[in-house]
Amino acid sequence: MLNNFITLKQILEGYKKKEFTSREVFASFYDKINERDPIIKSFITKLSLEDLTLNDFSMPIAYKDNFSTKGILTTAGSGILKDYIPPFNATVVEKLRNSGFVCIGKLNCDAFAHGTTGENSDFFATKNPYSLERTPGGSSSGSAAAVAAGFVPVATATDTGGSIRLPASFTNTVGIKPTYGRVSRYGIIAMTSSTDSIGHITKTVWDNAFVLNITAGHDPKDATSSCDKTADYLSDIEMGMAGLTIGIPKEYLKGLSGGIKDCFNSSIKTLEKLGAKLVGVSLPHTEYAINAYYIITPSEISSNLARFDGIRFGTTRESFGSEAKRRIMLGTYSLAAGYYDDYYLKAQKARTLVIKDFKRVFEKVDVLAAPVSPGIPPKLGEVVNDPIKMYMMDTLTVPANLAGVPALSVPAGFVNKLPVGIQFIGKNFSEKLLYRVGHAFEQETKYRSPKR
Amino acid sequence: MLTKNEVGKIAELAKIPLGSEELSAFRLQLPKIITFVENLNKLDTKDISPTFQVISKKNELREDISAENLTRAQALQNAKLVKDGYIKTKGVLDAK
Amino acid sequence: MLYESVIGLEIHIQLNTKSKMFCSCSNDIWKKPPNSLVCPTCLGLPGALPVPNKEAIKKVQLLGLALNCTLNKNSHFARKNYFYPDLPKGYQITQFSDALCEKGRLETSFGEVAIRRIHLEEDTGKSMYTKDETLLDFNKSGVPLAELVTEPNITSAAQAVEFCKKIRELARLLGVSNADMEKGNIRLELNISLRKEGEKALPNYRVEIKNINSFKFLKNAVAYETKRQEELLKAGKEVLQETRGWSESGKKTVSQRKKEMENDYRYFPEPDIPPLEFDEKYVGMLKQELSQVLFYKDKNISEASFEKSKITKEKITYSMNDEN
Repeated sequence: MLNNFITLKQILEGYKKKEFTSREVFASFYDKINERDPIIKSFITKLSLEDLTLNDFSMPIAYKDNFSTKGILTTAGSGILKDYIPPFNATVVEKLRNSGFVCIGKLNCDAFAHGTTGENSDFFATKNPYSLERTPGGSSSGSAAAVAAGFVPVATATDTGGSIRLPASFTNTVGIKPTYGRVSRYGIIAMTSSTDSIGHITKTVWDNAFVLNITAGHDPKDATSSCDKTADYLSDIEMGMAGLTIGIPKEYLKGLSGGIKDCFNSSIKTLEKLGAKLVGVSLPHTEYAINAYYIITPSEISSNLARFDGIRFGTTRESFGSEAKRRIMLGTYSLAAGYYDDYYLKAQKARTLVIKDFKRVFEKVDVLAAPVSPGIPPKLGEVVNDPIKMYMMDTLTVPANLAGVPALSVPAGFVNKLPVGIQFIGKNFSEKLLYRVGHAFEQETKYRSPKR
Repeated sequence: MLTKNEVGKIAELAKIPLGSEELSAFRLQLPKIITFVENLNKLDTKDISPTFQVISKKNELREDISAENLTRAQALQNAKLVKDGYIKTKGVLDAK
Repeated sequence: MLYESVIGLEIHIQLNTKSKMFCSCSNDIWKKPPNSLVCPTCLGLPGALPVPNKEAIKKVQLLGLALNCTLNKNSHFARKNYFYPDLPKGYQITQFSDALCEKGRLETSFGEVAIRRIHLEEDTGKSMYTKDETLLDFNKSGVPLAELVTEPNITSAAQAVEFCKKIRELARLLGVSNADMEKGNIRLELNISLRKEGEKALPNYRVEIKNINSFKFLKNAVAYETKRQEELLKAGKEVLQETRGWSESGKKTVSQRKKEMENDYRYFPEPDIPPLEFDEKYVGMLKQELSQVLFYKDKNISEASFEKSKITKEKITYSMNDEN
C-alpha cells in the first residue's frame, strides 16, 4: 500500500490529493517499525500509535534522544538519564510540533553524543540497515538508521564533530549540519557548547530543506543563536549548479580507502557534468583540526557534564559510560591550572587558523565538495575499543564544526554495497546554496535504493 | 606519562568515581590520547588570538522581565529524594 | 614587636532586579516556598541555556561608576567549575578576567580604600544542613550578585565596618540593591593577615573568614582573628593559610575545610554567552543617570564623596549608626 520510503514531499502531496489519511501514513510507519526495529534497534522510546493525536496533515518525526521532549523519557543514550523526564520541550521540538510534526519516538545515539559508531550508547548498538553487522555511524546512529530503514521520513539529530554527516553517509541518507547558531540549541543536551549544531536526517534533499525552513531562526532563549535572517531553503533548489565554482580541498583526499577515492572521483565527474567549474584548493590547517577538536570538545564536555550529580535528576556519576568518563578526564586535564595555555588556549588558537582557511577559500569558490568519511562503515566492535581510531573517523568532518560553517551530506554511491556520502561545505548561512547543489547532484545520481 | 596518582587526582577533581580496573585502563589510554592531541605543538600559534566562539555578535541580553516558569511539582519531578518541597541529598561531606 | 592588620574585603551584593541573572524567574525570593521560583536554566536541567539580564549589568556598572571605577569596554562571562550540591550546573557563571568594573576607590575617615574590581555573577541555591541530610532550595540559584573586591589596604575593624556601611548605603541610594543583611542581600567575607608594623610588603599568607552576617560580627571577627594571629606570630609559629568561619555562639573563628583553598576552578570563557561591549554613548548615559541620583552635576564624578553630596534625609532610609 504505502511505500515506507515515502518522502515528506510525497506525504504532503498525498494529503492534498486525499490519497491517504494521516492515520494510514502513521500506521504504515508503525508496521515497518514493529517488523524491523527489533533487529535494527534504532528506537529507545516508542510512543504508542493510539496515544497520538493526529490531524489531517500530521507528519511523523522522531527525535534523537538528546532533544528534551516534555513528558517523554529523554536519555541522551546514557544510563545516567534512564529515568529522566524533562518538564520542557527543546525549542526545535516546539517549532516542529507547531508545524504539524508528531513525535513517534526517541532515537538511540552514543551516550551524550560521544562517538562515531553508535556503540557508545549505554543501551544497545544500532545496526546499519544496509549491513546488519556494521554500524550506521554515530553519534546520531538511531536517527540515520530509522530514516534509512523507512521507520520515519525525518529524524532530528546533532552534529558536533560530524555526528549527522557521518551516519548519513553510512546509511544513504541526507544530513544537514547547519551553520552554528542557525538552529536553536535550547533544550538539546549540550555536548560541546561552541560547536553543537542542530540538524536532521531525511531521505531526500528537498525534505531536508523543508524541515530546515521550520527549525531555523533566532531563539531568545539561546544567546548563541543567530539573528541573521533565515532564508526559504527551498527557493533555489531547482536552480542546478551550472556556473558555480566548486572547490576540492586537497587535504581531504589524503588517507582515503581505495573504494572511497573511486566513489569521490566519480562524484567529481558528475559535478562537472552538471556544469560546475571545479577548482583545486587548499585548507592547510586541516590536519590540526582533529587535534584541536579533541581538546576543545572534552574541555567543554567536562564542564557541561558537571551538572549530572544525581541530585535534581538522573543517577550518580558512577553511571557514566567509559567514553564519557574518558572525555571528562581529558577535559578536566586540559583546563587544569598549568595546562590551560598549552591545551585549551592552544586549541582555540588552532581553531582561528582553521576558520581563516575557510574564509580564504570561500573568496575563490562558492562551495566545497569533499568525502565525508575516509573509510566505509566499520563493523560492530571494530573501533569501539580503540578511542583514537574512533576519533580519526571524524577527520574530514570536524573542520566544519570548528569553523561553524554549514555542510550537507548527500548519498554518493556504494562501495561493496555499503553507502558512501559526499559533503558540500559552504560559508556561514549558505544552506540555501548547499541545498541547490545537493539537490542537483541527488537528482542526477539518484543513489536511493530501498533497503529491506 | 601520567602517573596513577595524577590520573587519580584528575578523577577526583572531576568527581568521576573510578574502580581500580578503570584507573589502570585510563592510566594507559589517557597519555596516548594526550600525545595524539599534542600534534598541535607542531603549529606555530605565537601571534594568533584564540577563537572561543564562532559567532560574531555581542551583547545578546535579556530585558529584566520576570515570568512564571516551572511549577514546583515539575521542578521536583526528577529528584530521587524530596522532603517538604526541598530536594534532599545526603550530608555534603558524603560527596565522593 | 607590634603588628598591623592587612585586611581585604569581598562583599557580595544581591541586585534587586525583577528577574534573575540568566533566566526570567522572579528575583523576589524572600520567604517564598522552596523550589517555587525555578526554571530549567536556574535548576541546571540538561539543555537549558543562560541569557544575561541587561539591567543587572547596568546596576553593577552604576555602582562601579559611583565608586570611581573604570568600566571595561569589553567584558565577558566565565565558568568557575566546582562541585557542590547547591550549585546546580557544577559551575558558576561569573567573571574571571575583564570584570565589568575595575580600579575604584572610596574615602573613609581612616583613609581611602582601594577597590580592585566589581564583577557580576549568579548566586547558588540555598542549603540547609541537618545531622545527616542536606535540604536544597533552588529559588536563590541564579539571583544576580555583584561581587566587590577591595585591595588589602584596610587596616582596622572600624575602617572595615565603615567601608561596608558606606557600600550598603550607596547600593540602596543607587537603587541597585535592598542591601538588607538580615535577608542575605549583602554578604561579607574578609581576608586578614598581619605584618610587622611599618613593613610595606604583603604578608605571605592570608586567612579567609566567611559567615559574617552583621557588622557586629565583622568587628568581632577582626578583633578575634587579629589576636589569634598575633599570638601565633609572637610565639614564632606560622599562621596557616586557610578558610575559617565566624562562630557567633563561640565568639571565635573556626577552621573550615582547607581543601576549599586548593580547588582548581578551571576557569574558561563561557561559551553559551557572547561577549559584552560597551560604547562611549552607553557609558555616557550611565554617568548621566548617576549624576542625577547623586545630585551632582559636575562631570567629574571622581570628586563625589558620599557625605558631600546633597542627599536629602528621605533618600537615606537607614542611619549610619545602624549596627546591622
